[in-house]
Amino acid sequence: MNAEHIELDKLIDYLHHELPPGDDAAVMSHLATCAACRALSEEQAHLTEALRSYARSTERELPAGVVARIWDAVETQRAGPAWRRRIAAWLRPVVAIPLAAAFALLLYVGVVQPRLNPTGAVISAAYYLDDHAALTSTVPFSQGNVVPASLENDETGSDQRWVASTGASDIAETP
Amino acid sequence: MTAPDRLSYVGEVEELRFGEQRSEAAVYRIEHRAPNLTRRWYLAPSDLYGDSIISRGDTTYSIDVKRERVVVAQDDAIDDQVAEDDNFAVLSSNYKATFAPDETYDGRSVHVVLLTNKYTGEVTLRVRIDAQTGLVLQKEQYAANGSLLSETRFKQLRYVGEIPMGLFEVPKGLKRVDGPARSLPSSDLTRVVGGAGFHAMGPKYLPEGFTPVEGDVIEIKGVRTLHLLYSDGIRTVSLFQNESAAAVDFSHYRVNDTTIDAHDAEYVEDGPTTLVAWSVEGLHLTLVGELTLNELEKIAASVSR
Repeated sequence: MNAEHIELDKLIDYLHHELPPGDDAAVMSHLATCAACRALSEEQAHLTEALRSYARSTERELPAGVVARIWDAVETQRAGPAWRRRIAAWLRPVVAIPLAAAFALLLYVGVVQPRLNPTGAVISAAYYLDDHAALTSTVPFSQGNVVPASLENDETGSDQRWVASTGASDIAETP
Repeated sequence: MTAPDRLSYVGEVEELRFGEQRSEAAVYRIEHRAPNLTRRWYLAPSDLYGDSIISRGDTTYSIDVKRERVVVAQDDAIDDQVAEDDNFAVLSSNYKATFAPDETYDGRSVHVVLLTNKYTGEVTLRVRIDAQTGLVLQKEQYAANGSLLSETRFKQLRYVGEIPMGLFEVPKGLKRVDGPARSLPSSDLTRVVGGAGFHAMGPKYLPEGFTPVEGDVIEIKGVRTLHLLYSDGIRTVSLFQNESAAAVDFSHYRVNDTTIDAHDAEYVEDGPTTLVAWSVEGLHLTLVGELTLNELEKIAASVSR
């Protein structure tokens, strides 16, 4: 606050009750006697209220679906040949080396990978992106998903379940 | 874009999100009947043409014409006034709101509000509000370097007295499919973390103004996953973690390699949203947010017990 008027930043902090008690009292007392600062204060209060009102009335996009595209696509496209033809194909020399490589890969997938990924679960990146968008729905100006997952994907929420939701309102410390 | 409980209107909305590798856009006709009925008819992208979403309070019906189905989903958070107030308080403490000179937008007089980040001094959000009704007609979100991250704009807006209820009826004859039923997320993060069932990690570094705001625990394909949301009131970052070290499927995304504190990591960009995934100390971690990759990597590197 200068000798004449209150600085805008300080006034905003005052309106948001963020000033230390001494400064808060000084601003309050200045506002009682200064019409110009009072007008500025009222304008800021109006602005804050307008934003709050908007934040309360914002319609939030609901990313209703969840995604697991790859396995669907793989399963759909995996229309393999008959067993006899497959065995015959394996016996061809041209596939011997790739087959060996595939065997090594299978060993990795079957023995090594389960240790790294014990559940064998594969979670689509889209799950995380959708959940991020969903949980931001109470943030006033959150954008959400442009293309709603519920219309974009084949999957639904059937393989996704909420476990802990208390609905409590106390902000806790960072874990 | 907005659905105030006292105004009924029709119009067209364009939503754009810009990313370095990929941008997204959607255009839809919107009909909103106060207080809480909204229908959006998609015109673009082309694969959504003809689809629509009907919102009735906290229940949403996504009418998927091509798959001949309706996905019904519920989100209790839509009415979570307490969380909204908490998040608005976070916004107020991190952003300075100022009026820019009034303008005319799509033939209507609008107030222009700028939200400036108190720590960087950069304008993060520009909002154009109908001077007569208070409806937000346009908003632009900017990155820290001043580039446009996203824009949402109303066009051909008309306020109307009544919209026939029939417009908000869900068509019959389509298969009904349950979407996710989302309960209220919790801001009691100690309790949420306690419900995860494993010793969770948290970031030691967050950009200035960011604070933990909400969280929940979900099971995705049987994998119990803790989801914590951090925000400065406008920008948000989610940290997901699960003990099962489930692999992340990056299909449909252009995946890139990086390192987080000497651990191999991968990241993808979806419009302005970036997702980074890595594993450390038996936990699989995924960070999602609208920050730069640099910022996300800094946060990721600080995640520990």
